[in-house]
Amino acid sequence: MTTRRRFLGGLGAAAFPAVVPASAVGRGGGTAPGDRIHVGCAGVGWQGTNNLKSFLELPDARVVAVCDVDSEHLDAAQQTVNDKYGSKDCAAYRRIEEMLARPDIDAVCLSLPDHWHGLASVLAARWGKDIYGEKPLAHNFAEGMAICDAVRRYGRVWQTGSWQRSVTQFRYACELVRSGRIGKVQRVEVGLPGGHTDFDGKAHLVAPVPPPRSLDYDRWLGPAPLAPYCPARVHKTWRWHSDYGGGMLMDWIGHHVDIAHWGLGLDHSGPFEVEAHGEFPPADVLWDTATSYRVIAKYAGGLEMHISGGYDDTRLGTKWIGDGGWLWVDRKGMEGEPKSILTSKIGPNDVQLPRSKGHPAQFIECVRTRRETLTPADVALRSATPGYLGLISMRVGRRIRWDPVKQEIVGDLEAARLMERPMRDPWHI
Amino acid sequence: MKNRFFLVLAGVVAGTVLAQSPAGLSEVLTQVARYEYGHSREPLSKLSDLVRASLASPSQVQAVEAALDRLLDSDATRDGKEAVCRELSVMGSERSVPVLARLLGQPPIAEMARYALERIGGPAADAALLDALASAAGNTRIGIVNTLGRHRARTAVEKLKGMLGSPDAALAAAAADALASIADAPAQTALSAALDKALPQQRVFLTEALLRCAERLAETNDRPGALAIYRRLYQPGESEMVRVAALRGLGAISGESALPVLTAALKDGSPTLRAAAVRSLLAIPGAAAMKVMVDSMAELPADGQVQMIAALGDRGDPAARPVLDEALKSQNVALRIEALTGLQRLGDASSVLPVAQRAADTTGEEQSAARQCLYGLRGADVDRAVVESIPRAEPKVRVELIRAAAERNITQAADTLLAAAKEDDAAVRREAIRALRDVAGPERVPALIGLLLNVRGNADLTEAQRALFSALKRSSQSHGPELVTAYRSANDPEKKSALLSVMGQAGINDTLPLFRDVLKQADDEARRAAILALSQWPTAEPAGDLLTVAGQPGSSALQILALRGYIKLVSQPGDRAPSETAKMLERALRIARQPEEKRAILAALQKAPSEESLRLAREELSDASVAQEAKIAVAALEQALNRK
Repeated sequence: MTTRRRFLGGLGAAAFPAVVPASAVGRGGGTAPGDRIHVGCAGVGWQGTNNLKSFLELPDARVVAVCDVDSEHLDAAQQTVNDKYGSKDCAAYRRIEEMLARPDIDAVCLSLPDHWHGLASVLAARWGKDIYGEKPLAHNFAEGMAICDAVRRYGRVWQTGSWQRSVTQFRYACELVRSGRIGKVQRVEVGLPGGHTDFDGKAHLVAPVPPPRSLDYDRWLGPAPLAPYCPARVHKTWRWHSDYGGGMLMDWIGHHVDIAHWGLGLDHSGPFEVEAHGEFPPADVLWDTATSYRVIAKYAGGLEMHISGGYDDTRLGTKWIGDGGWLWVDRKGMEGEPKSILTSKIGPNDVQLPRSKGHPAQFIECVRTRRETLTPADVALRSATPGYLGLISMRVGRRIRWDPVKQEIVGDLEAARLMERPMRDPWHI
Repeated sequence: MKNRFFLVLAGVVAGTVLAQSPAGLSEVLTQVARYEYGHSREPLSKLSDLVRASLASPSQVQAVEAALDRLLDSDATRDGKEAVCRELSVMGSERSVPVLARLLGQPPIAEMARYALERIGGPAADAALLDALASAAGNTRIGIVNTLGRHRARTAVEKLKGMLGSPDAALAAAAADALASIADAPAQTALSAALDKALPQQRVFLTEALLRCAERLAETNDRPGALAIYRRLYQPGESEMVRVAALRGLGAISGESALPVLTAALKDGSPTLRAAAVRSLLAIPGAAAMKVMVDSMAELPADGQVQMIAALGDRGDPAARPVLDEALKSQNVALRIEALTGLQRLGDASSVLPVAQRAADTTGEEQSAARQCLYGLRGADVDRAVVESIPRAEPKVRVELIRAAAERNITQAADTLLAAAKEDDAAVRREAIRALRDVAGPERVPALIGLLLNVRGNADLTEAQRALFSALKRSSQSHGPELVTAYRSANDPEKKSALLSVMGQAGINDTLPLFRDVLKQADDEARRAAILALSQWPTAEPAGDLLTVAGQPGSSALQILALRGYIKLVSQPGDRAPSETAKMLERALRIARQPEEKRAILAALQKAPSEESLRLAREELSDASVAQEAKIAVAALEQALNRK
């Protein structure tokens, strides 16, 4: 923890009332510069820059360091931070271990490719940093579990980038469903995107070539199997390759399936069976994740979740269907039947979910109070699990049985092997 | 003779195996054997499909595995062999261990051979990995250590023990990690012994490994073993994060027995340890832990108090109530905010006035927290407390209480709010009228009509309209006669307009005769109000009335208003066929004089795709003032109709 914290602690014992400026504890308006939460941002490419900018807007935080294996991303991010604060104080690191070793950094924002989530998060927890980590929680279930273990072990505050929970209409929709406005929910339909978006038009750039000098490619690969560099493999489009990501299914599961679970009170539960089918791109492209997919997850009590992407009948968002109506929510709004539920007030005897002033802001608030965030690590793992099981089902071509209490695959050796992915040496978690 | 016999036998066996192989496997493997990165992945994709299909049949799996093993032993490309290793990682068995073990000694392919062995697991794989350890070097060696750890291979403990003191820090750390995964008694002993003589840079991974061992012991109910490790690692001198983990471990497995050490951490620990102690206390049930939390508050520094109040709120124990109430009086705004959050859960009727006062006296985050608390307080008496407090409180507090009545949907508050709606204090009055929108049921329609007729000022009038409209929406009756009577009895033109507006929004059909009367009057302002009100009708019922006005001679402003209203009503989604909508829009088109109206009609036609709509849109191509919009409409309609 920071020396600033020790200073605050050194203000001495104080009974009520204690005259302490509001700014000294970061609430109620202004925060003195010396009392802001110091943040380091690792992964400052595409999503990472968006996250960085969000943290730059927080009055209670100060970004003091950035880290990336690509020096072009790194230099641009450093400049962004220095321009914002009108200083030259932001440090830049190529190696995350060096940034994590700084005792004055309280928290980190990790916006890395999925295959780096496990390693970086566990390291950050060991170094005592609170963590804002991107979704899905990890590349595979085992690494997700390792993250949960490390966060629990070291008592770290974790917020997953499932920011829809901080958006009013999503929260309201979940409150309506959980308060019984549509009756008992028997089915939930989750629509996610499909395909492989060809960001930057590099789908055809698959021939092995030397990596650019700005990129430490070996480190970028990290724990993933060794493979020759080609532009289609990295930066934005890594998510379409199974060695680094899980396609659109895993890219979006932490959004709309997370909301589906939240609306059903399933944050600490899961399905007992998952079956999935996918359609895959032609084999002459590098990207090998499913471009269209259907995943059916069955839960106790007769509930079924149907996740789909890439089909004409897929509507983005989450739709809960109950015996008294239905409710659909997406970033564009809400629809439902009966229509009266859309203006229904959530009263004191209904299920009231925590309000948030913004996802990164809520994280910083929890760093101070040490309270659990809206999207802690173990909840993120539960949100992603139907996706992990869906990928495994597609790979082995059969239905997967799952024990949601033990969090294990039941009676399927080949499938169980796919719960983890061996790490390239010398990496380990 | 003997050799020939065995050759024949081998051939029969091989033939039997091949005979059980999926069709096409041989051809695919031939292609895989030549695969290189950058080429089409088609052979790999086909191989995956064949492997997947074979999984349902043990004999096929065997046949496929044998074929994959043969490829690994051949001079296939490295990239092809890597792909085969991936498949074996899913479906391979100990039958593949020998060939994979041979590859462990061949650096380019060793990595993926280990990949497969890691997933296959089992004693044979572990034995092969241990054998390879002796001759492996660098990262390959570390990788093997990692895999043995993943396998929790007890047979590897002796070898791993010897690596803990290696000058190769990465190897030593991997060995510690592997021993932590194995976590049997010899592994733990080895780690403890290594920690006794560890250099500072070695302590990092050794302490982490022991923490993991402690967790395993706790999982297997070996509390004494886990406690011993946690106590050791909590000693001063260990790094702060190790001590945090140890403290958390002590709290998790010791329950109330950990209270002394947690209390000490609250008192004397660093901010980080103190924060860990707070959250650990939260997880320990019972009155004793609660007492520690409550009693420690006075001694904690500011940030610690905030964390403790947050934890007390999360704990949900009613015994925390006095602490929260006291914290509400603190000069520390962060503390007050957390207290309000906690009170939302633990407060009751007696919290209503103090929290409302807080909402009235503050701004920003604290005010939001106070309001949220007020809206969320549970308990049957809370609603009554809110209602009863409204008449008695000072004005700014009454405003907050009235808001709360609306947010909490306290229908019993209707009478109190109707009384407050007539008060002199403008803020109270307005808030009360606003709240009636949520709270007043259909039985209050007469009272709300009376309220509307008697409000002061435009702002109050707007709120009164909204409240009346909400009540009408909830009602199963039309209330037409009451509304008409009220209109006729009102003298104030603005009140009359307001009533018309409400009738229009509510779409009360039995008030249409009144509207028709008004439309015939000489009073342009009254007619204007009627036209605007009719334009808000939820269905197209009064469309004809508006069209009639639009087609009349006289004030062109009213004609334009009426025509726009007509277009709006006709454009609303409904059950009408698109061709019928088009005919209705044609009537508007014939009397439209302004380009704005024609543009609106062209836009509306696009939402009712039919041949008639298309014809009308094409007609307007010749009008230069709307030609561009007509072009767009024609294109959209053509596309829509072609799609049909």
